[in-house]
Amino acid sequence: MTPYVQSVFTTALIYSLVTMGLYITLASGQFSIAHGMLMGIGGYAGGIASVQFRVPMILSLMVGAFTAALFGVVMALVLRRTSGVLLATVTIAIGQGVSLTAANLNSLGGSQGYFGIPLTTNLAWASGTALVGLVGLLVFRKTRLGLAMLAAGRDETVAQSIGISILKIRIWGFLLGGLLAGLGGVLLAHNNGLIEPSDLSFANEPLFFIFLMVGGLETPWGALFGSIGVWWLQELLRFGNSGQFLIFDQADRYWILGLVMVITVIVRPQGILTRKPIVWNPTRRSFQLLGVLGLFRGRRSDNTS
Amino acid sequence: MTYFTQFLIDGLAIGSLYVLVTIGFTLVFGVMGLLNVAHADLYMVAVFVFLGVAQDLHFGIVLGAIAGIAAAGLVGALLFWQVIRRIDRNRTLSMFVATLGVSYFLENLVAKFVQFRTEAVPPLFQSKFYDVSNLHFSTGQIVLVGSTLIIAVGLSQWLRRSNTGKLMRAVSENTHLAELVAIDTVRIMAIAVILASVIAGIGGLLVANTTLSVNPFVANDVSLKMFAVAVVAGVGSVDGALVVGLFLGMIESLTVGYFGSQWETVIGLGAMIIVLLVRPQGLFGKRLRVG
Amino acid sequence: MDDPKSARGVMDFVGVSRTALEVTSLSVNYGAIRAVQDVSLDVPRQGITALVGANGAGKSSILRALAGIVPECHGSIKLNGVDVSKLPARKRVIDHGIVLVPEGRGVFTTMTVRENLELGLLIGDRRRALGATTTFDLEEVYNLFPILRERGDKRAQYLSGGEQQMLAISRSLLMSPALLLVDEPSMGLAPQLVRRIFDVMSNVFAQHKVTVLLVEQDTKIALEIASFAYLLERGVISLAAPSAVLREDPRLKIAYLGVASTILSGDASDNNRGNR
Ligand SMILES: Nc1ncnc2c1ncn2[C@@H]1O[C@H](COP(=O)(O)OP(=O)(O)O)[C@@H](O)[C@H]1O
Ligand SMILES: [Mg+2]
Repeated sequence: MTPYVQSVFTTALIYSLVTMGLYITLASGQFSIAHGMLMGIGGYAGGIASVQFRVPMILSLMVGAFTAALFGVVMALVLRRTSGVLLATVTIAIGQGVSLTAANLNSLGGSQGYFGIPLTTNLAWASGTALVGLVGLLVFRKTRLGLAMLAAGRDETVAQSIGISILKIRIWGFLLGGLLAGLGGVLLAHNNGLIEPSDLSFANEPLFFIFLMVGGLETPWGALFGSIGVWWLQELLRFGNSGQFLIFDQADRYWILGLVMVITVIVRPQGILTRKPIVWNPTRRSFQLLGVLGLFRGRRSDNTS
Repeated sequence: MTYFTQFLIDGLAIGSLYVLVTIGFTLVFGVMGLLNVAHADLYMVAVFVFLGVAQDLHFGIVLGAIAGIAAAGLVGALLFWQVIRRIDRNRTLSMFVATLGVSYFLENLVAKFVQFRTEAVPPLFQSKFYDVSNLHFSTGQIVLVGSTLIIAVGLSQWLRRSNTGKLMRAVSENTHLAELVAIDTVRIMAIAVILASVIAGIGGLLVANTTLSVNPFVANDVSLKMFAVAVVAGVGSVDGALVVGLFLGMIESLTVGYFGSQWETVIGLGAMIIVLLVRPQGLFGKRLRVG
Repeated sequence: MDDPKSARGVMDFVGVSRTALEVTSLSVNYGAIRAVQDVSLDVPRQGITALVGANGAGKSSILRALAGIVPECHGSIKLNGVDVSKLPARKRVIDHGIVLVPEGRGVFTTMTVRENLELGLLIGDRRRALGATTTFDLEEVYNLFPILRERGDKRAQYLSGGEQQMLAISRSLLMSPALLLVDEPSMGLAPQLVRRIFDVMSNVFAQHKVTVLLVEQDTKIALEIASFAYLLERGVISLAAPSAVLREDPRLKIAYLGVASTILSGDASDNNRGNR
């Protein structure tokens, strides 16, 4: 792999972690749009840990993930009486508010961002962390709590009637979402060497939605495939860093992504790549790949993971 | 005391911006339960179209302003007919995500044309600056605050008294029942979206007339305040948005004046969170109300 | 007379049909649930026809299908010979005068009493312009229910349940209905109030020659004011007869057994025991 290909994959995998965080928060029925902010908080925390305390990368990752998860939990508690689109709106406002506040805090480097973070992130770190995130989510979905969360995500009243605590589900939804987004943030900070307030801005938020919408909202795989697929798509639209692609130049890729997102919502609201969940059936020790890339729809392929 | 009054005057102008974007946003929510994330972008679209028509195409200020406002209305109409109407009306979350995409699309499309720059905006008219016993204000500010009051009170009265306003309130309260009394709910929703967009466009021009600059991503900061005002007032309350918007502008201005700009966002955000904890339906209630 | 189709023949005069509404093989589905199955019924012009049945029988579903606000239904619905089954709800109201007074409190609670009535007038005016014959004005409605005049500037949410029901009926009358569909006006109201509302309804409907399809769970009172009645059981019409005949039919009471025996009067349960 050329360094260019490596770097594109690295970035895509970093984003896939944030998108997985978005996936699990949405799956828990909490419509939150603040994962860019949670990512940024993880990035600041991990970056500070690396710069101030010179901790190894693995520890930075833990610090970032922990901080973002903590912030997620606080959000879940503060917003426990808000839900639906209103919750979404409020999380946008909080994300933007935190971003603007970060830009005003000189101790965090102000609007210039927090500099001098060691460039530790590489493809190995990114893919390793993404793998941990993905497997973690797949396993979590099979636990009692995970199943309860998915049930509550579908229908809160039904979940409540069978004795699932909605507050607990919410807290876990935000906690896991923060955790994954925080991991992405630490990797991002150590990839760019800095973390900026604009990384937290609401302006980036649609990007993660595009990844997830394209990948599919029903499984963690959607977050992974969507991030890699869309990130490569925009690289192609960028046409390798310079020049023109058909009538488009590289400034066009963002609005094209916005258009892709709108059309996806209209045409396939559950996402493009994956639709039905990819069911892992531990008793049969098989992956039933339903609907991945549309190629395997309805077919089963055995696969030991 | 002079400082205090000065901050209040500046705060009224800032608050007017909040009011002008929030009343449309809150109206659309009241009528169709849609939180339109792209709403504040219409403000930006109007200003850039104004710039293009008035300056680059040399059509002059008046035609430019008309084109800007019309463009905001047109984008609103397209948003309604081409995006919202294509989505199952029970999928409010899908609609919300779609408006998120529209917002990203609009911002980056405009950004591409202006090379991601902040542009200077020519004033709509030559503002006079006054200096009365050490208080500074301009005709631009007066026009902004005056227009805001006229538009917000006008909208509220229109909802209260006009036939279409009554139909709008009926749709807002109960869409199913509205259909039973043969109200054309789609038409009413379209009117609400377009009206809201036009008001956002007018707001954009009036505000740009005092700030004299605009950038493609200005909506992100405006949206934050818009959400805060709407939530504190109670999403759907037009009268509430007027009161809360002006109030927030003044408090922000005082806070920034006395304590520094890092506190600017904290006020709106803090108020929003406290309201959500204490009175989630907002100070003025939930649905479209004029009382 | 048990077969609804034979009832149809009896009602036709030579040449001019006395039938206003003619429903044939109506079915209503909610996803996999089939709420109404192959229902056929007629509503004669200028009279009150009752549709009775236990809770969950599908009465509201039929009315909602006639008004055009159910997600899925099949069958033909003819009003004065014109098939309206494919028309959207709005057109059925404006062009054909099919007006539904919905179950529960069918008023806009955040709007004033007068505003609620104005919404009806707005449609009524359009219907009159199209040549509608049944016409009411505000004055008449206020005379029927004087309380509405007193409460004109109050929001409907501050009205009692009975007053809200009066408001809903009044608004529907102002819409110049050619066919008025009334869904359980008695729901949740005190008996004396039910009596009053039914008295006013039967007087005004007769006087103004309104065609009415009345849905009620309270069969006693419904059969008093209706001339003809259908009994609906689990989505199917099981009896069709003049009210006086249906009232005496033991099957009427059986239909309510278990499901809604509590709402029947005391002597009804004695009868039920006899039937067992
Ligand atoms: N919106 C709906 N979705 C699913 N099922 C419904 C809906 N409305 C009614 N039903 C079902 O259809 C049947 C008939 O209901 P309804 O017409 O309301 O009966 P009635 O008015 O006679 O009490 C019931 O079993 C009810 O559960
Ligand atoms: Mg019913």
